[in-house]
Order: sequence, then C-alpha cells, then structure tokens
Amino acid sequence: MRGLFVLLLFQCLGEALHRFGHIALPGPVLGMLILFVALCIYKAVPDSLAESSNNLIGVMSIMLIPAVTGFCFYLLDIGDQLVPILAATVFGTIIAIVFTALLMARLIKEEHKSLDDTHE
Amino acid sequence: MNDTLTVFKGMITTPLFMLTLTIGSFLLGQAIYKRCGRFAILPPLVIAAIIITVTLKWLDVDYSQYKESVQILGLLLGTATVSLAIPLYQQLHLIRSYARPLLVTVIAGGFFAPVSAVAIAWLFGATDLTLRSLLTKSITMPIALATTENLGGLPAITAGAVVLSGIVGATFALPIMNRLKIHSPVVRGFTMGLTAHVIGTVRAFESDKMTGSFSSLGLAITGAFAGLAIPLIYHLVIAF
Repeated sequence: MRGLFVLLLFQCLGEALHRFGHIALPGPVLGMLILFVALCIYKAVPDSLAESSNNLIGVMSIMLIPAVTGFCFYLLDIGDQLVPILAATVFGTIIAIVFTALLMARLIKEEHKSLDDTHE
Repeated sequence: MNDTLTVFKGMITTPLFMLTLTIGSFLLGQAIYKRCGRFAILPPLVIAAIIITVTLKWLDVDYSQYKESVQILGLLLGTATVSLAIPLYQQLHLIRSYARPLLVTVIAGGFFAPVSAVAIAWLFGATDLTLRSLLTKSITMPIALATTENLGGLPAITAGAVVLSGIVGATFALPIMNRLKIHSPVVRGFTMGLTAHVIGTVRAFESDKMTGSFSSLGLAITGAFAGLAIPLIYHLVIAF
C-alpha cells in the first residue's frame, strides 16, 4: 500500500504542476520525471515502491484496452484516414528502425575508436 | 418489454459490467495469443479490443458510454506511467556507460520517428487531426495518449498507430538489423525500444536478455524525452 501511495502522491504532484505551472507536459509524465529525479537524489528504490511499480506495469495492457477499443470503433464508424495511418506506421517505423540502428552503431564505433586512440 | 430493455442497458453500462467485460476479454486474448504460438501480429491487447468492440456493437452500446464506465482504468494508467520512473532509475548504470551514443540517438531518433511519420501521412493525404495524433506513434502508449490529448489530437488514432507501430517494429526490426549486419545487442535492443516501445521490448526479450534490457531502456528514455520534445515538434512542424 505504501508504494501505491507514493505513486499516487507523485501523480498528484505532476497534475498540480501541470495545472498551476502551465507546463504543456501531461500530469502523469511530469509525475514520472519528478519521481525519477527524487530517486536519483534518494539513491535507492524502496521495496514497497518497486513492488507496486512491478504490479502496475504487469497489468498495464489492461489499462490500454479502452484506447485500442476506441481505435476499433473509429475504424468501423469513420475510418476514412486508414490509408495515411497505415502508411505512416508501416513505412515510418521501418525507416525509423534503419535510421536509429545505423546511427547508433556508428556512434558506438566512433566512441570505441576514440577510446582506443587515447590508450595508444 | 421496452422497460426490461432499458433496465438491461442501464445495468450493462455500469462500471461493474464493463470492467468485467474488459478484464475477461483480456484473459481470453491472452489464451488465444498463447494458442497461436505468441504470434506478434495479434497481441492480447488487440484481441481483447476486438472482442469488446464486437460485444458493444452487438449490445448497441456507444463507445462514449463504454469509455465513461471504465474511467478508473484511465486513472490507473496515469499511475502506471508515474511508475515507469522506477525501471528507468534501475537502468541508470546502463545509461552512464553508454551516455553519449544513447543521448545522441535518443535526440536524433526521437525527432526522426515522429517527423518522418507525419511527413509520410501528409503525403498520403492525412487531415490535420490525424497528423496531430500520429506524432506520438513510436512512444509508449500511456505517454502517447496523454501527450495527444494535450495537443488536441484524437487518442483513438494514437492508440491504433502506437499498436500498429509496435507490431511492425516487433516483426521487422530484427530481420532488418540482420540485413544491415548489426549484431550488437546494445544497438538492437535500443532501436527496438525507441521505435516499437513495449511490443518491441517483449520481442527483444524473446531474442535475449541483454537486447531486452536495452530495449526497455530505449522505450523509457524515448518516452521521457518525447514527452518533452513532441509539443515542441508539434509547434515547429504542424502548427504553422
């Protein structure tokens, strides 16, 4: 219970920061960032928090069902944008994979090379 | 007769019945997924959504009624989003040892994925609302949904695009990287997490543990970065 309370507390903090700070980021995302900073300062994850987090992440798929159901309804009721959506997700994801993989492989190679140079 | 129907409809649209339907459909989806040999094209989440849609259409229940009944799941999704800070913190040592390549990749890839998706959608005749909803397609669903809502997009489109991207990434990322002769688990995992979030990460863990850890790292950093960057990209690319 203590872990869940801490998570809810940070969710509230994020929501408050979103509303009063006029920050464009969604409340839960802000809550996540504040909690991350808090953990970096605290330098450890309390057991109760790790347990609650594991439990919640384990059932996260269920919380996503309403949104995906919304997409099914959208396809059945409107659906006129299916072609651009499919094109963007299929081609967009494939070129993003190629771009990201090549870029990162190159960066790691360069880093190793510069490390080797300093060793010489 | 009409009265019974009204009572029946009033009853099935209560949170109790709708939550039961949602969780039941998910369990059924999991069972079907396992039966079909964990076929990535049909994750339990997608099977569940199809079962629920068919059921609601059959019972003549609107989506808005359903959404209102299961509001509690939306609230818990926010809590689950907050809890993503914990795995991110637990991987801090990985972040430190690959700081520079990770940082550059997440910034470049984090811009490239949404901008290329929006450009392609625009070529195929997407409306402004669709473009707005597609910016978040590569990031983990809770952050994607919250960000889309903030930008005035349609969360239904985002949900579909996020799931489709995850399926495409989980299916094609490893074959593509084999073709590119990229064998480092650091690069393979991080790429899968960055482009295909949780669905890609599940596939990465099936490959090996190291690839899986870097995939979950990729999804967590990209989610955090994109939550910050996508509103900016939106103002740069679409808003004017």
